[in-house]
Amino acid sequence: MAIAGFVEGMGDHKLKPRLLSSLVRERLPGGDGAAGSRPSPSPAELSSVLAAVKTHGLLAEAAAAAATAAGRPDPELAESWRGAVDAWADRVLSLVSSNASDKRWAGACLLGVTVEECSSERFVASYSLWFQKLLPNIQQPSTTYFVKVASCAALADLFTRLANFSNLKKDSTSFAGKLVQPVLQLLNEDGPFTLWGGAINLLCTLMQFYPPSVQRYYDHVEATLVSKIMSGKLDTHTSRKFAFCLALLPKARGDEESWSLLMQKLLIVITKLVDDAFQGLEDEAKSSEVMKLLVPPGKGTPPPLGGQQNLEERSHNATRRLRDYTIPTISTLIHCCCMMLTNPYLVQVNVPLRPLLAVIRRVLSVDGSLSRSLLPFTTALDQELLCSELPYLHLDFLNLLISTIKGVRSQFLPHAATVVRLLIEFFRRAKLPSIRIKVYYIMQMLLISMGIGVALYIAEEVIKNAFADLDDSSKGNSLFPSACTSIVSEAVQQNSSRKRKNISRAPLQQCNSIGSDIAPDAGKMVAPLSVKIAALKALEALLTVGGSLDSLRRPDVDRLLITVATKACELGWGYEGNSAVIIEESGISRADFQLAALKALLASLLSLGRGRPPYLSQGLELFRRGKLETGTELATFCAHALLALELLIHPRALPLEEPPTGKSSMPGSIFHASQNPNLLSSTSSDREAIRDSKLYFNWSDPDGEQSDDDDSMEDARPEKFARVDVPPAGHRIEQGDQEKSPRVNAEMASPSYSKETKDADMVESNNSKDPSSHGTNVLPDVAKRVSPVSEATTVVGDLDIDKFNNLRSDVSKFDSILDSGDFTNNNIAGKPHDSDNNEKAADGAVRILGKESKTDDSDSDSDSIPEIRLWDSDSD
Amino acid sequence: MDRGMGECEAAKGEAAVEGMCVIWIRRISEIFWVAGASAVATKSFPAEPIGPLVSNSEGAYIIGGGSSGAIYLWEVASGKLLNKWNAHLRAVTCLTLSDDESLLISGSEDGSIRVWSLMKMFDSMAAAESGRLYIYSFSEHIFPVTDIVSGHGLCNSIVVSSSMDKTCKIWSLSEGRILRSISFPAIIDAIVIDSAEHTFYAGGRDSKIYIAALNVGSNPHSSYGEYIIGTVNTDSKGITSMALSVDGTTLVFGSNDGTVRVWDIRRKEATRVLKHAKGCALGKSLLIGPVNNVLIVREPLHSVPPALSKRGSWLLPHSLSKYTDSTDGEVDTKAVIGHQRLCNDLLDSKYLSSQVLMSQIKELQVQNSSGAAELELERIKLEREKLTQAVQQWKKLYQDLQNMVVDDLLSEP
Repeated sequence: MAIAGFVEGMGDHKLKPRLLSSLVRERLPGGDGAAGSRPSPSPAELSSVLAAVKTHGLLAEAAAAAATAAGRPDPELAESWRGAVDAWADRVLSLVSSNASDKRWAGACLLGVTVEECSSERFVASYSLWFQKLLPNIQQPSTTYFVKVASCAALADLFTRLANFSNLKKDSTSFAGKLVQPVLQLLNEDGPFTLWGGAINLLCTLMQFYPPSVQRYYDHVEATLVSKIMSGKLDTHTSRKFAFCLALLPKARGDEESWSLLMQKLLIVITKLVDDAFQGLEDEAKSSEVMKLLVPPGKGTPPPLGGQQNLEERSHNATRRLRDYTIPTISTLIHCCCMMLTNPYLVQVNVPLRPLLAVIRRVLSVDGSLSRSLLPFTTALDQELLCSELPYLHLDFLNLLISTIKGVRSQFLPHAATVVRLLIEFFRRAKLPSIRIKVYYIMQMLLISMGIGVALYIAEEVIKNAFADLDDSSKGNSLFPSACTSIVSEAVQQNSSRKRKNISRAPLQQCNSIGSDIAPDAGKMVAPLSVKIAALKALEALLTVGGSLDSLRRPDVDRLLITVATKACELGWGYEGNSAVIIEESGISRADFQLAALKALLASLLSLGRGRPPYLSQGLELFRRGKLETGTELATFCAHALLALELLIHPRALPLEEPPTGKSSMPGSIFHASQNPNLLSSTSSDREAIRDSKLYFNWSDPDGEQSDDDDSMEDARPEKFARVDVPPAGHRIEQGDQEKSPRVNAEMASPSYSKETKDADMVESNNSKDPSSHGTNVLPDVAKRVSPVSEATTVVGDLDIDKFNNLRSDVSKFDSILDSGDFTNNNIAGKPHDSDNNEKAADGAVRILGKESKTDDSDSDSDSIPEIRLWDSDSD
Repeated sequence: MDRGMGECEAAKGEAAVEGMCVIWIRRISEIFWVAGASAVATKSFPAEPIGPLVSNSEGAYIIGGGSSGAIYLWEVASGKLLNKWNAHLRAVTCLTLSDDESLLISGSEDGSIRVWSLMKMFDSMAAAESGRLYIYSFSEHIFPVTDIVSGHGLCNSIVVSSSMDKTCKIWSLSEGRILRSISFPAIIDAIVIDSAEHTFYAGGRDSKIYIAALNVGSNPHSSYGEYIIGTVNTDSKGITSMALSVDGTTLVFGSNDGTVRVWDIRRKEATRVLKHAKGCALGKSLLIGPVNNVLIVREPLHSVPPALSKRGSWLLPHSLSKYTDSTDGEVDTKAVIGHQRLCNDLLDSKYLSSQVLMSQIKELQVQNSSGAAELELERIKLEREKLTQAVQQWKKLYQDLQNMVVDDLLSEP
């Protein structure tokens, strides 16, 4: 029925019916009927059919019919298209109920695609027919599992699409109800994992969109799922699916009770399994303690998970049992808990936070070491067994912790401190890369979500560990350890998801050493790239939320980050995605590491510390070079970094701080740090810190009170003059007698900068006509700096008489307020107290003054380092 | 300000202002919060009069400052008093949370401002170690602190405080020291910071709004005072509370005469005056008292009317408890999930068929896979069946043919 003639081109909708017809004619297998003689297509043929349908949108008749080129409907086109799709649908349906398995399989797959792609009208008109045709495919036990899996997928798609039509709710729910029983049957059949996977997908869809249909079979579904999970026969992937499905189950009832009950049951089973694993290696009191939290005394024990007592008592021998059954089952159940905690639920539910944390704490505190009291009850073999499995257990429970924090969000606050302590303790002992990565991740997450409060706690620990992992300068240029080491250790990390049945387990390095007390001196081995990346990310988070904390050791951290970034980049840029095969398998390439290093470097540059970022120019250079790597993620990030840093170079706001003045001292301590060529040297960090902070004061001085020692500084920060609403004559800005210095810094002199600079120059030159002002105002400035207290005193009483008087009147006003009894509480009464206060304040002022002058002295010492004068002499 | 304990005197009124909802509450004497506009409020009776109140943005906690100087922290989900500590010597006058909501800043009648790490307040070990609970204690204000606001910034946020000593002071939260002190001609009772932190607005007891600059250098010759770049006269009777819209153009302030005014900042004029109509809330006639807080609440993106939600999930929150119950050292909290996020499974749903098809094709193309073998077996079986049928047919045909021929031969004489 295709119209003879040419189409307008690739985009012409008239092309589509023709393409579809020819697909049906030439490439689809025939049904059992007259055309049945055509042989089944090869799988490759089928995938090309799929690609054609999806790329051209061949089945989406309605959407396109409305959108013909001219914008008006074209009945002819619509008609031909409808005909073509009709033919397609007929053919697919005849395939679905064909006798030949391969045709039925192709039909089921294509019907699934049709469900997804076809127009709404067609879907509404024919979904029930399609359902009827697909249903027998999963009901007949004799069908091959290929057909069953494809039919399950098609049905799942059918119900997903159906959920979009709220007016069909009633029908679709009754259809869904018919489906639950056959699906459960499929799950109970013996079959390959893929069959179960397909059935689980379908069941999940039903639970998500049609909870009432599953509600009737609630207990049955729970029993089936649990018995599969507890059988210990599944591979990791499939058991994850079962866990996910179990986690969705409470949605079928949709009330708070079923969620809480399932969570409680899960935790009880997990606890029992952990008991099993820790037998003889842990004080049994701990277990009962946890159980007491799970089942509060006075409340009845809930029915066992899955209806019957199904802690497997099969005749595993003890060696295999732990590895093949206990640990994987715990992992699956924990995955289920994680899903429950992080997936949204219909109604508000209570999270049993305390029991959860108790369970986690219990496992994380076991390190495989033996306490003396338990010695008689265990054997070396038991210990060896447990130690070999403990890392997996720890990883699972760390995952549970992550999900818990994710689930309860800010409600985690009351428990944060204890958990952080636990983590810090755990981190000290953690040696295995995969575990370290997880702990870094948790710390990063906590930092981002709980901000500076948590940074105060963990800053030190994160930095200490990050240094151990990142700083391998002592080991020469070993940032990229020999392939062998890193591969082994990364394999451990990768294989934390154990595919027991199919893949042999990767060797665990340092098998028994979790509990040992090796200090993190990293002298033994270089941390693998993946750990380094995790450490960099944690540092980045730390700098982001708490960059100006004292405990952050900024000079050291900044130096570390620039060193790491420089080293990462100096060996050339890594190529994304085409490194050696084995590295690729581990999923981490050098490019990832470079990206992480640069991200952390950006955070270090942007995060406001006590001074100007010392390695700004080196950082800029790295970013500029990275930006040249066209088409990589690295280049994208570098462009972003340059944008962010632009704000640092051309600041748009002035620092709030009053100028700390009284610099009797040395000129020109500027920008030396950023120019410091010797950036990798680790000496004199303290002095640098002092210089940095001094630098900051100089730099941030908005008023230029420091006169001639700061002239070039003034040049560096012209914006503030541009921003001040035209300073009146006799203004205090007094850089009048300063010589013009040339641009201080190469970056500063970039063209985009020049406009504001000109403004600034103008202001400066205005001021230069006022030679008198320089140096006269030092005293007032001192007063101003300590103004909060000094205003109330007479320490610097020769200035600002007006202000002082003002304040006096305020005081008396306040007294009168107090006297008039406006305050309900009268125990600070009147003048004596106030004058007392004032005296105290005065004391404070004096003290502060004294202190300041002291520090100034010491500062001036450090400032008089000869190299600092470099710039001044240059500028002359 | 009257803080009577006995009966509830809170009143709530609403008025729509350009898509925003302005709610003003007078005289908080007891803690009140409302789930949805029409729901009944829950009443609580804390142990002492509570002045300032603040909650985190997820609404998990409410923190209140008592007249004795104690700070109370309640969990909203259960109403439990999770923590109470003695923060100041005299009444707490204002509370605010830092930008990342991990630090609490409290101001008091005794002029002190203290910064608390909320996390640390739950850590008994840290308290035992360091001896003091607060992170910083600022005592530069000599008279009662009237308001505190916290600026933007993860680690470098500033805090602006106002006090009866006619100054506003700006503090660095990361370094714990004063950055700047600004003197005003009048006592400042309310402050708001512009979200870009160019300026802040200070509402004075003399009914003027002072605009102070944060981002420029000092200008001691300004006619208003150092750092103050402008004032606006309002014809109210003393400004008691202020709020700023997100776009920074609308300023809402309440005053002592019981009115709430909406001010357009760019045009510098009042666009609306909201007066409390008699008896509009709770059916009581109310004395006209000072407005003591204004908030601008944005209309939520997905507003779920409480009446429509099924299964009674919108239970009223619990009343706040009076005392902590510390039966065993650790606080037992009630964390909830699922409430705040809408279930949008539909948006996340994926279609499976094509993916399954591709993976099965892959499996078929792999030699020796069990699935492929099974399918092949099926195909061969079917073929055999067909062939058997064909053989039968041929047989029958031959038989017929033979019969016919034999018949022919036999019948022929």
